[in-house]
Amino acid sequence: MNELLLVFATIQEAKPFIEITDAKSNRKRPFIHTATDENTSILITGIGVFNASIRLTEYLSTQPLPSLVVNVGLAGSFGLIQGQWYKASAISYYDSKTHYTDIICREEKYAHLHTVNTPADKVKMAENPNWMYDMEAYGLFASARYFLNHHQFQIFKYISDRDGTLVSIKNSLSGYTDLCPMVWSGVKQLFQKIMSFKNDESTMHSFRDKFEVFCTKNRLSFSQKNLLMERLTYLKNLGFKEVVDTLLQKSYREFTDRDRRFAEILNELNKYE
Amino acid sequence: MNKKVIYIENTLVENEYAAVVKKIHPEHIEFIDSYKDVLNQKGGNWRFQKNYQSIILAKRRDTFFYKASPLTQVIESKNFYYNTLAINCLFDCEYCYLQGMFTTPHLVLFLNNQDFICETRKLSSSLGEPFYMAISYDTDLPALEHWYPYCSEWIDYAASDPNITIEIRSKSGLKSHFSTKKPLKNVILSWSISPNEILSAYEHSTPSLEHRIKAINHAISQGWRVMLCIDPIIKIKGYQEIYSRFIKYITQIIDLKKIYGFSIGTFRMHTNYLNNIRAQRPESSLLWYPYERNHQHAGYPENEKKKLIQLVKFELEQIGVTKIFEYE
Repeated sequence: MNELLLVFATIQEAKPFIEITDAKSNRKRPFIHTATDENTSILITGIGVFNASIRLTEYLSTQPLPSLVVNVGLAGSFGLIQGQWYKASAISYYDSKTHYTDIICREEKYAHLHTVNTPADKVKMAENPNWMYDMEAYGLFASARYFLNHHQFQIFKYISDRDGTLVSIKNSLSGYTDLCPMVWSGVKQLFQKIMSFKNDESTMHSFRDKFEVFCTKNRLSFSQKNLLMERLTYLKNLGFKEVVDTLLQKSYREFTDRDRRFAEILNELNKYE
Repeated sequence: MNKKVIYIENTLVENEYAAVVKKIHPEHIEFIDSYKDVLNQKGGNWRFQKNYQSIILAKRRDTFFYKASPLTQVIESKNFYYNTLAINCLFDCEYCYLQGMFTTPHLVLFLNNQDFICETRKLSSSLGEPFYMAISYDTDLPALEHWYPYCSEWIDYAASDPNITIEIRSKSGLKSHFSTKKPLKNVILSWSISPNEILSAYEHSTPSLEHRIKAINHAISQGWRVMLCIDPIIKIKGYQEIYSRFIKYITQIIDLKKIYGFSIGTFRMHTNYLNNIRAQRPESSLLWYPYERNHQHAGYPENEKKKLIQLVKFELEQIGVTKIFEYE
């Protein structure tokens, strides 16, 4: 079970988290690291929107779906405080539709994140001084939106530079590394929030799975299925969960006619309403 | 409510939103082209987002009022209109259609209230006869009064236009929207009230019945026309006793002779909204009730609906209430 997926563009950005989580790289796929607790995975996508999108799509379509995907990394900004962490309040990419993220952290600072194809220089960043500039986030979002709800994709960015030069970025790495333990604790808190919400959903999923098996087994029609779903959920919500569970275990195939079968099921439910 | 980040439409100029922003005091402002970019964004989880509801400040460009839906009561006038000065609500009532109407629960405040008033003035001149305007429709307006004085501005407008009757419906216990104003005959302050059993089970994050009753009694004592809405009436276990006890209770603490009228109706909803909401609230016994669906409207089967209405109507008539507006 890999419930939390941390996504980075480069190994330099991932390194502090690989150390904190004691993650080991996958021999066949060196861009994936798995933490010793097996709840956390680390994915390194490579630089740029396309690399980010392709690697994350590939990961999400082949691995068990994580509950939370967090992109952590460096970003440039002309006006925001260097050496400070920000969360993305919106992600834009040239003319593409801007995505507005779910604002769920009360402690962190927020800023608009713009993804670019080539490193943004001082002039470009000065156009919107309070924006952050990176090269992957929109690609990651474009991929994640097909697999997860919005709140399950979050972005933490460290303001590394205000001119986009390699020297400035390299110089910021030690400051980035120093603050990673703090970000890790923020990510863990976020993960708890998401998990506490997800638990309600998973109960419903297990009910739906049982229900689907029951309907297939008893060969119910589409409209019978819809009606039964309504009745069973209502009963379950009234507190008759055991009655519903017992009914879903049963088979009514002794009644050869489908309508008769359905009538029998409803008769049984009527006792409880 | 999340006040950390707010969204402001680019079309608003700074002096239009500065006062509201000062009150909300956000850490970050995200400027947007249209409120719909955030409000109608798909792919989110409505229930999760409700815990972190954001505020969008916007400017309405067109459609400043609507003719009322067939699911609302016709009160007093055949010309029944409503407007949407704000979209979505601070409260989280389980039976509310707003959960299924928009893809996110974010609160939109239209700051060009004077444009709404101006267009309503034009409507008033073109109708040339009395009309009714519900102004707290897709929201709970009094609960937003501390951010923008919607009610106050509409009460001022009503004082200058005898053709209009405005209704301000709320679940709020606040009094600020009326207490400093002179009572007007063409302003109806209405409160939705429900038995505590309903309130605690389905009206999440709403003020208590006691708070609402305090506000109601304050409005009555000042001479306002007050309407009480027992809507939606919900069929729960022991509902006969619950509603009957509830009506006896309000008789004891509200001077019902001074009440303008009662508005009553049972649970009803557009079927599309109900389907959307059911997906969000799989644990709700209220929403998963096997409702009858007719012409895209879901509600209790006719005989049950009649029983519920008759019960409340009978109890109200017993205590001498004559003006009962009923949803049919």
